[in-house]
Amino acid sequence: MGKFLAAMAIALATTLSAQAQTKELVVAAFGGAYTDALKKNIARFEKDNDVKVTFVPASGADGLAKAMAKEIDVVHADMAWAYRGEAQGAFEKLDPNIVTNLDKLYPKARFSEYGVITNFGEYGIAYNPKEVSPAPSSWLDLWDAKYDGAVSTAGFDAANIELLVLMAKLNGGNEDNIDPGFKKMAELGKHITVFYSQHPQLLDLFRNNEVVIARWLRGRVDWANKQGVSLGFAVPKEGAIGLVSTVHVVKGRPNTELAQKFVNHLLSVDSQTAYASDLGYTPARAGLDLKGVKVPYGEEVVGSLLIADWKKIVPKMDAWKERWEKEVVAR
Amino acid sequence: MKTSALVLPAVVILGAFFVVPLIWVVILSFLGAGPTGEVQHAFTLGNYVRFLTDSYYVNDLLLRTIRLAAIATVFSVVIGYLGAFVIARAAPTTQTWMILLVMLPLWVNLVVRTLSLMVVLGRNGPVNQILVGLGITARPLPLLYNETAVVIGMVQVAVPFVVLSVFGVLQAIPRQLEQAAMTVGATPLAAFRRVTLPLSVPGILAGSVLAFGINVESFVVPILLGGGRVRFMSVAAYETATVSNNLPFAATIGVILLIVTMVMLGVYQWAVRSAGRPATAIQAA
Repeated sequence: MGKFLAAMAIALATTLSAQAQTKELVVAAFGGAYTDALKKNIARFEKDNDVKVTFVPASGADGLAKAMAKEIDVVHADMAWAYRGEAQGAFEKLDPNIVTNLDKLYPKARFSEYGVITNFGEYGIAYNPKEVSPAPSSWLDLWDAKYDGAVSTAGFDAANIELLVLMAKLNGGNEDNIDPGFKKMAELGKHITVFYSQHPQLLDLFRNNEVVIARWLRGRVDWANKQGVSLGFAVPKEGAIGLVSTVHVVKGRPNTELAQKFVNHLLSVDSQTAYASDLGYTPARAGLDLKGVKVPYGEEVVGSLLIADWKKIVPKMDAWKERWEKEVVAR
Repeated sequence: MKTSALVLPAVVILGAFFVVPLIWVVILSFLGAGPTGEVQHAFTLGNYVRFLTDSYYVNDLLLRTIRLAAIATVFSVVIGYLGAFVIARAAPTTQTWMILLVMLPLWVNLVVRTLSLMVVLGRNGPVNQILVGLGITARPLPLLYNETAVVIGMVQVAVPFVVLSVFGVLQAIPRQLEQAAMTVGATPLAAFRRVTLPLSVPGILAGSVLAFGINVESFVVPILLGGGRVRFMSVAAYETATVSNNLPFAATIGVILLIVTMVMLGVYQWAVRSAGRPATAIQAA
């Protein structure tokens, strides 16, 4: 018994000292392939900084709750949750002396002092080339009466909010005068049978020819083609809608300096290249060599992405969501 | 040791993980939300006013949820009762296997079960192929992404619970009662209607309460089978929290659903109990 207790004590002591030596950084990310891509280059960062990086799957409401509870060091978000987190004081300001890569980014990637955009996705129009010809050229092609019942988009997500704002702007409105946007989206709602909620669901709808044209993500159209459902992808003349991933340092955690270094690491050449090669997202960093990687890239691509003024949108989202259900979804 | 101490673990677990969070949700429903989602610690009835004075929330959301759950419960009880009756009258070894088959779906993840239902009900799925093949319809029917699909999905979830609760009660009814009825001239149908059915009311009651409770809080089924058009309370509460980021209003949706469900179940139990009182008297004897 005495021996056993001694062994226990030694084991405990070694674990404690091991923990004391290596610091831990908890990073909340979107999970799945996204986290896998982040893990790709993590070994060197861990070695250089003598830190163990643990990834937890959390974003959106969950990510912000964990950040407010100070359970994580770094959190990923989208535009809406980034502004909410900033307004609720969840984030630390990024320190340009540590996050030196900030200078290397396209201006559009500079979210605010409290966070930075690491990469962009592109929402455009996915279409079945056998049924939709010529290829769509404008977002308004989704409204074409030809596709009544065979057009789809998701529910009230970030990209549909962008589409709503775009429709407002095309019809004399903007973020502060959204009525023209809702009027237009309500017309689209009448043509829609299914508002898709998962990517495999939309894939199935395309496969069964129940949908021939839809608002979808470029990377997902590539995925559909690999699944044997051949689809085209069109970037509308008004611009592709930007899917944005932001990253933030959580305030009030013990290792904020390390967390800042981690954000800098995400903006490094290696990490930024991995966003393109592994996930098909457009990197936020300028001047990368992306030869052989089939991803739209460059100042012009990033500059043309539609990204609305989310600072104005966030306080209205509750009301807009209700209007969306009443005016666009309800028949 | 007193036997009352045996309920202590259940009380502690229910208290810590159910009652306390529930109280917090009720409190939350009386608070306001700031523009970026922060909870404001000041009492307000605003959330309840917003819900109860808006026909979208009352008709399109609450009443639709209750209506669909009730329809699904009726189907579940009829199908489940028939199933339980067949099992109760089968040979004992067959019974074991049939009960196992009834329980089998409960071991499969709900998302997986619902996804498989999407394949079955799809435009090119087996149901439509049979309907078109038999010439019942010329074109595939839209079985998916509408209220019908959601009801079918809920029935699929609830039937095993009905079967199990009715089966237990049917097993306990002595067959001699039915035989006695027939010796004094009742047809088999009349014997069932006037003896077995009234005696199995407690099973029907338990089964339908379970089925309604499960259906009214359905979440996966309306999301996957509703095609984004079939509004449902649980989905609305979730989206109000995660998309609109208005936690107090999400809590309000939850509390209203809870209260309405409890009142409905209370009235229902009272109604069935008073209708079936003679039957319960026989059972007690």
